[in-house]
Amino acid sequence: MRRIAALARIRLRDAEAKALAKDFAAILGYVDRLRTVGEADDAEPLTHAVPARDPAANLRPDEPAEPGSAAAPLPFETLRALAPDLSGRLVRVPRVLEEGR
Amino acid sequence: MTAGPADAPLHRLGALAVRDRIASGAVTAEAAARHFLDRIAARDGAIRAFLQVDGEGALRAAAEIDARRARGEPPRALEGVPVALKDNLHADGLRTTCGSRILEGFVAPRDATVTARLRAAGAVIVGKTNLDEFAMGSSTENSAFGPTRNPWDPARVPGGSSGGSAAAVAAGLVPLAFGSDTGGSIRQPAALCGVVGLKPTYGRVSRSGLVAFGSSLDQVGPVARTVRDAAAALHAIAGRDPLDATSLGVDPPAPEAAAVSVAGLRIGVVREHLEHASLEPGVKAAVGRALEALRAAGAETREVSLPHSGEGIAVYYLVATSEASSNLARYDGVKYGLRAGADGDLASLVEETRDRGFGAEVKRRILLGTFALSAGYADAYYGRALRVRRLIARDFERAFKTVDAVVGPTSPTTAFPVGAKAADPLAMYLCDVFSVPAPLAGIPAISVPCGRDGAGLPVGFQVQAPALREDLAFRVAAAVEAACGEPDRLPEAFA
Repeated sequence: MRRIAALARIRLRDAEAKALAKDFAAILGYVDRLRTVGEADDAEPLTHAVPARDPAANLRPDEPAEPGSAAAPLPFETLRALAPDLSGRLVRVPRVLEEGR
Repeated sequence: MTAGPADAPLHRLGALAVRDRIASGAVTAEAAARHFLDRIAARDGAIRAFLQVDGEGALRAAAEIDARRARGEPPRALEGVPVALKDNLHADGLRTTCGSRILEGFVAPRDATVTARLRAAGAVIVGKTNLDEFAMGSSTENSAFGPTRNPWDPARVPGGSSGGSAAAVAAGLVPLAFGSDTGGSIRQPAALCGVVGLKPTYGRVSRSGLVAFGSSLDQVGPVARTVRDAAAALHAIAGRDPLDATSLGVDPPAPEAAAVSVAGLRIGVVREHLEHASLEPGVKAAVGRALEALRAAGAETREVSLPHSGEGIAVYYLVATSEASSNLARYDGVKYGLRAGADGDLASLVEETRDRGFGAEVKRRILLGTFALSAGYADAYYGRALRVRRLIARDFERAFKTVDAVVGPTSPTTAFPVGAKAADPLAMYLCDVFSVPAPLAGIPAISVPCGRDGAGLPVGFQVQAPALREDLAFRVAAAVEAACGEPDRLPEAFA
């Protein structure tokens, strides 16, 4: 439980970890039924149920989209309003490296 | 069917009937917008379907429509129709909360493609509706902003996760709303609230501007009072979008498809669903009456088997949570939304933000998905689920060789009391037992009201059709609606 929580960057207090372990036992116990579906051994994994009819339609010229078009990136002024903390044109976060490293 | 006679008040009408009144000049778009805004102001307090109402924006859009009409421009497909959007769909300048604290302060920087297409069709966006946080739930109890109630009985849930959209349409607060469906989130609340809900074929509708949950499953679709309204709504939002690489460039069916008779259609009744242990007798009886009506209308019904549909919940809760754990990694407090723990290091900022921002069910699903994808377990859980997903899709392919559509109940139960399943995640997941196979297979599915159970609660009838054959789903659903529906009926408290 702790290892998974660390991977997901989710903090677990002791009481939460206990309750979640109980939920997980029930849910994983239920999904274990998939092990007994014999036919699945030879089935191709299905990741995308309705494939693109024309995959080439997703290719585009390697050039920036027209400013103002729907495909153009959002302008800085728009994104600035969403950011919790800015320094000039950069998003500010706490120090990642220690001094002198 | 068009809801409501000619002199009925606007809130008893379906979307196309409201549109026709505006197109004919019987009522202005502004008067229609005011009517529904007044309804929301007076009555939403009893069910709390809305998280945000944009009265000013709606009246401005309606005035522009009236100006167009005055210039003699032809009315569009949804001219002047007030619509509500589930609050995981972006509308430029309005907050998108996803029912979560983690998107605190987030204002959508642009329209979702669906929203832009609705505006282009003349629709008037009146507000954003409540949902289970990040669309994870089957009751709309998981919203950080409190639960939505079922207008037919406020002690009961409206279903979820698009419970706000379904409750708003059922209560006559808007004639049309939109939701998203990943495992049943449009169809199940539509069933529990007695309205029509469509999950289109995967790829039919652009997902650009829909906040991602399970990307191989998510589709946007309408919640409406009539099947024809749902067909018109799909027509307005469907089609290829360069902003969504999975969107398909295939024309949607004309709304008139819903009017074609079912005579001669072969309709498969899913044996595993009608014999399911969790199916309530009142639901089974109402579905039986709908099947009778289809036969009376000239369709042939026969039993079909979807042998792997019983594995749907297990597959769904591994695939959807795996995709969610990846999609929700973006909420880290860095670029937008809530930021907490900024006085520590970067790791504690991310952890503190996610701790305060996410609710219990979202954390549970992120952890389940992280586990299902983790080294040493990915093959046994995520990989296994994808293999069984293939078998579920094959079951449908086999069935569609002998029948045109596959039908059954949308949900095993009618609306359950608030709190009844809140403490048992697995019990809540099992609400979706009949609705998860369609998104796993990518096929379209619609829920249409087919009457009531003994307690007077609405029952939903599900029609599933082959990929890109929404026209068949509309035909079957319209026949059930004509025989068993009551699209102009409102709950007493909302009459």
